[in-house]
Amino acid sequence: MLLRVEDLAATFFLDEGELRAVDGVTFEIGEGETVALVGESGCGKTIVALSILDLVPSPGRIVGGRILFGGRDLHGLKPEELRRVRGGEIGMVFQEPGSALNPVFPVGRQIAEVLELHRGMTRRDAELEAVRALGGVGIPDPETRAKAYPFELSGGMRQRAVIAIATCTRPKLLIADEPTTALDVTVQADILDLLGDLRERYHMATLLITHDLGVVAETAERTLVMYTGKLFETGPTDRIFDEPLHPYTTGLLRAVPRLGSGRGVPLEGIPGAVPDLLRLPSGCTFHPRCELADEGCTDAFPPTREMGPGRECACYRATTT
Amino acid sequence: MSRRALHLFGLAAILGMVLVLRREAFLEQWSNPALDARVATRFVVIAPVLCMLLGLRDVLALWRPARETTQKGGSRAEGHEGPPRPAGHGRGPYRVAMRRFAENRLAMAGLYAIAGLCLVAILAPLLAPFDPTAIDDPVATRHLPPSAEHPFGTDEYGRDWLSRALYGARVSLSVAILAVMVAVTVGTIYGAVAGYFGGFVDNALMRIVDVIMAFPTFFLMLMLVGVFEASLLALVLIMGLTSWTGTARFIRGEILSLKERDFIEAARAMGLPHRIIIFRHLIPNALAPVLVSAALMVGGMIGAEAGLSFLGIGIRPPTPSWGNMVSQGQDAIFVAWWVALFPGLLLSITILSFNLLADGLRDALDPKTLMRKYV
Repeated sequence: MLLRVEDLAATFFLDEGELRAVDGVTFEIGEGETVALVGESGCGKTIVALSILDLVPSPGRIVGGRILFGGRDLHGLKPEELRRVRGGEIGMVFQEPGSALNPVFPVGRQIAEVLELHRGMTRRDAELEAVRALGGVGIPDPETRAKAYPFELSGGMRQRAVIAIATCTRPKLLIADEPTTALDVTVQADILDLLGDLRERYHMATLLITHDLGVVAETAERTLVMYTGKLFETGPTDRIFDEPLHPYTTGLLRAVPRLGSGRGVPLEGIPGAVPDLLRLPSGCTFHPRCELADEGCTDAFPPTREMGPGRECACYRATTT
Repeated sequence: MSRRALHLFGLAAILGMVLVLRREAFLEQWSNPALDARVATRFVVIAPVLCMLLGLRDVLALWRPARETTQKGGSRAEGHEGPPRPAGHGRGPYRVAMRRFAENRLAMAGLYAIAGLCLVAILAPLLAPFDPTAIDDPVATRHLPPSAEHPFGTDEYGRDWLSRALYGARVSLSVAILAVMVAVTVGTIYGAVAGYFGGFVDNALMRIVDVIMAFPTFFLMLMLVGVFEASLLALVLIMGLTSWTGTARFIRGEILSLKERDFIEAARAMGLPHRIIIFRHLIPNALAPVLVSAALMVGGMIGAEAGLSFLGIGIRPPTPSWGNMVSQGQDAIFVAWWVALFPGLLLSITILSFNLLADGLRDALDPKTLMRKYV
């Protein structure tokens, strides 16, 4: 097992109260495996990613759980060792390629900087390797582009550059936080192809964070469904798509537009909105929006139950057929 | 001829002229004061005038319709992802700003005037017709009005006022620029550290700044200069180390907002150490307003040095500085107006030039318009 997240909890200590952004999340990622973390905005997906690298922004703090990476507890490491893991063994791709690059340096320099640090390369070698890395992520004419500043590149190219920075050290795990959300639809597919490509080339595990179930279906072997800081359902992607167990998953899937569903058929959404994390409903946090909910759902949060091979679900009402 | 080539040509011409005009002085070394005076007068008039003219050409061009900026290389056909972009990569935001600065005529006039003054200061030993501290014949040459031999006149000791003004430029400009460098370096690093680490570190560091700011800077300088031996180095350090607090404050503010940006988070996620994040990622991005305030500060520093020297505790005679020259002229203002006028004029021109430069920098570096051409 490459990464094991055990009972992770991260809380933001705000003036208004304690906001539990991540609450008891447990999952694993095997070597070379792609796992998708899905859920609506504001469900704590990004905080899970930042927790793995111990980068939860203030006033947030990790308040419980362990992160085991290659058998080591990441949060028990010395700062120096943790820095070597960041970027060296775990790469991260951000949502906004425009702002994830330093505006005053050419992109080649930004890749070279990481290589100098993690691979101990000389400046010259690092610059050459940076050009290769840019070519490796499908940027045409990489020698010229290495000298380009971020604002001289298009959105898709910037995201490729960000991916090049994250993968130039051949990390074992790549965390991609909404890597396609800010891009044009046509470019999205290219970027997903690129990620799949790199994964095979470097045998790299991927944690793909997204709210786009179409992206999940195409790329991920396993899927984690997250809501209000908790995991609702986990399992193999095809099984979850074929037979969702949790009513929330069912709702998410129903909200995806499909080809051939006929014109004039209205798209169904999940009624209501994600609750304020400071004022969560009692019991199952989904019950106010759930069509299956009854009185039993309002008392306590449902325990996570194992349901079928590799599948888990936190719902009182879920049943397998 | 391209604008840049013209500018380079102008500066080269000035330098060349110095060498040609001063050839004899090189050979004869102050042996012929009369000749030196003529040559120096010519140069002192010609150099700044030429500098100003080069700038003025730009000022006059204000009334001409703007030319299309020619783009070297033409647009390359690179039809991949994204909009057409100017050909030839590698123009960073600061490079873009520099080009915009070059289009600002008033600012360029300021820059040329500063360049001219610096040139004059550097070449002072070659240009000065007389020894700036030599007291020739106190009776015969006392308070001579401006003439061909003494273009700026002489002072009460009969010293050639032009020579003193030239050497004074060295002292005044170098003290001010070095002091600003000290202040900006200290302030930038201090503010960046406070802003980046935040929390307790930030609080502790900024309270120290508050305490220092509670003293009026000029009086702090006065006090310290009074306590320490007023050597040039001491003066530079005292002026620099009492003036960095403003820079520290606004750098801290810049860093506070910058560090929330994604690329800083990305840098942390890539495992870059604090040192590299601060010096390579945060400070270069916060530098634009620092440059503007540094240019403004030079003007202020020249004024402060003049003020200290005027009060008699900055640069001590016989070393000339514009400040102590004005101070000396004050006593003789009704007898010999030129003694106070010329150094005062130079002070004003210098401060004005630095303010023009700062204004131009501010416009050129404005982040809101910095990338408009390309995005």
